Amino acid sequence: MTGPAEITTFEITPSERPAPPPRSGPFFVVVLLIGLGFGVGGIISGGAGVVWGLTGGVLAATALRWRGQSSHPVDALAVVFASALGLGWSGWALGERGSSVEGTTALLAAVGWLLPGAAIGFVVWRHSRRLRLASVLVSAVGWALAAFFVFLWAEGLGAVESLSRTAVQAGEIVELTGTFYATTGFFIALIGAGVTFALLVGSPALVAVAGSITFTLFAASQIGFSLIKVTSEIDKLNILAQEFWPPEWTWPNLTGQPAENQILEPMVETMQIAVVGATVGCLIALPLAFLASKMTTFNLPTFWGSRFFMNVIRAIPDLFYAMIFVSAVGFGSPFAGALAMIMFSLGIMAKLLSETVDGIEPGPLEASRATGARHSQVVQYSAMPQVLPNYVAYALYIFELNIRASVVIGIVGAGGIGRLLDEQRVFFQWDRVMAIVIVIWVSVILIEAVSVTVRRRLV
Amino acid sequence: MIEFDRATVIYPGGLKALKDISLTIEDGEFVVVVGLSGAGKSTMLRVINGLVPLAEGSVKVNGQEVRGAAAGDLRDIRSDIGMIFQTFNLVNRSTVINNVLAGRLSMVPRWRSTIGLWPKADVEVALQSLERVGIVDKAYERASNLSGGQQQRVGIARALAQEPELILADEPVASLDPVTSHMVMRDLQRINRELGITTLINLHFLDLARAYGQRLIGLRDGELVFDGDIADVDEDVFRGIYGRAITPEDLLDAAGT
Ligand SMILES: Nc1ncnc2c1ncn2[C@@H]1O[C@H](COP(=O)(O)OP(=O)(O)OP(=O)(O)O)[C@@H](O)[C@H]1O
Ligand SMILES: [Mg+2]
Repeated sequence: MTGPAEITTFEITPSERPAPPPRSGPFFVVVLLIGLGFGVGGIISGGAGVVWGLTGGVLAATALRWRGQSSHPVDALAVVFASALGLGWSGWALGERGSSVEGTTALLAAVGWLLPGAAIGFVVWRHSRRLRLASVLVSAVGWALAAFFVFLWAEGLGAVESLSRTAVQAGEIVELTGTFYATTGFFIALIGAGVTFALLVGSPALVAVAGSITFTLFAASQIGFSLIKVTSEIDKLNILAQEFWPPEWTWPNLTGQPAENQILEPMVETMQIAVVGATVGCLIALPLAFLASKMTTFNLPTFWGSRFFMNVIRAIPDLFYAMIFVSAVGFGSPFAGALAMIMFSLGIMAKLLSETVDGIEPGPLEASRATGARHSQVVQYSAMPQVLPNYVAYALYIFELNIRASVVIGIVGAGGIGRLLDEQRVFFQWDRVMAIVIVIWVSVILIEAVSVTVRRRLV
Repeated sequence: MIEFDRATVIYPGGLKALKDISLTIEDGEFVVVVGLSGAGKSTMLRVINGLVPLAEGSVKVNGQEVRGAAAGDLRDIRSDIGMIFQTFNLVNRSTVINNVLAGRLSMVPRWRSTIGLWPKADVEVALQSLERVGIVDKAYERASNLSGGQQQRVGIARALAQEPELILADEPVASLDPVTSHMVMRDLQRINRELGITTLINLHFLDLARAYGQRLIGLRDGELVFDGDIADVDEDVFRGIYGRAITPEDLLDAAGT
């Protein structure tokens, strides 16, 4: 083909318009806003059931969308509300019980769990009415089982209370602190080995393994790690094992009254601290990151100002934030922990994201600037989409970091399970410490597994 | 109408990229700008929408001075000027329709663009712009899934969505193959003829300029060395612009085959 062909008249051919796909943007905004609102509300009021319901509801709504079942805001609302209501109800039923749990209380608690199942079932059914009977049955049985376990659990709680253990067991004071740390280290190493093994099965480079082994050996020799010492103190380990095992899951509190959910409640609190810290921190970091990148900043003073602010925040260790906020808000307050985690998340996210923004393509920015768009619009329409997948992946990663960090800051009084761990440790209640560590360990692994799966899908 | 009056551009570092340019472009004209690499073609287009600031002289768009315009005025000027780029400059991760809607950002209330709640009328303008370049069926696909020619059409649609009075195209076909180049050039020519949008195009290939242009502007080292009807371009004029005779490299269809 050479030269121009004849000029055909330029009229709009009334062609077939494609149907717009379901809008996911507003869907997620609605779901996230509700989740955030209730999450904060739940933390303020201490209603853990509602928070769990919401978290589950948001997850379920997201999963429904992912599986292409529905992305309708009404469906999301239905699932989220039903879950919050159901689990909130469950928690309320347990909280309202008298000295012991009767069958009816346990039944109420269990029924609460059926609500989210019903809501999800309703949404799925609404969109694909010709479901296979088998899948309906499987899902129904699943939720029924969940409800049944809640029933058993509630009954069990009652049983524990009726034991009425009054005496505070005097802790045997043994010189075990050093060995305790060694064992903790050993556990962490086991976890590390497990992770390495998982990575290996997933077939990443052997080089990384070899490199980490070399580095570990080097580091071990530097800190005076000695196998001989470990073997010569093996009988100490023996004592330790006796002290640690079996774990003690419940114990009476200081007034001699039987206590409930001693480990789970602070663990939930720790997770709430981590969620609030990650969410709020990452939200604040979003504008800050764009201001702190030459690509999207307003002007030089803003750029240097936000850079400086970002670096200062990041340079302060999370433990220090925790101490500051604890002295400001009060010892043992989860709010102090949340504040510390906000600063911690903010620092990491702003840094990671602004560096990602530095590397985006400038062309699209110039193009929308040339249309006469405002600066904020240019950033939103041309810069944001380029970094959004990274942003979400970073946020999940920061949430993982937060879980572990908020365990540690609990030790200096910022609420959550860290405080409990420290309380039991100073009284050498190793069997209780063991129970706490197991709970932390399971929670962290579960959360990481979910987070890693989601992140894989994103990037 | 665009009026250049002794327009001069000096880049940081002291390079004079545009020297004392004075010329007028009337409404509805189809103007092609040619010149060697580094002659100042892109610079000339960019001073019109204020992406590059003037050092001296003035550039007026419809009587409005671009130089020193306040931020709000500059946005107003830009909203009437569509720009098309050699590398398309689409947001690859966004859908085609969202890329085209970017052309309407200056025309909707800010809260609407912030939450992505576009007025129906604006979505309609965007879809019509896509229809004009014949790719409305791709509206909800990711921009990165389109071919080069299709991506440039999205770029054109984005400019059209502004319902502009003027289109600036900076080497719009330089990253396309010859056949696609002709299709895109024909699109631009139609838009100029049917909608009466004044069009300024930087081109590298002389035969493309001859085939589609009416008026030709030749730049050399930032100076205006030719301004006239494209029919008057002969070997001498070419030497004046390029400093040498025409070679096959200057022709798209010779170079492309
Ligand atoms: N942002 C900038 N800063 C400094 N110098 C620049 C800048 N942009 C362009 N120049 C210089 O100004 C001169 C003219 O550049 P311009 O981009 O206008 O040329 P051009 O004719 O479009 O060339 P090409 O055909 O390669 O696109 C060149 O010498 C270039 O190096
Ligand atoms: Mg150029």
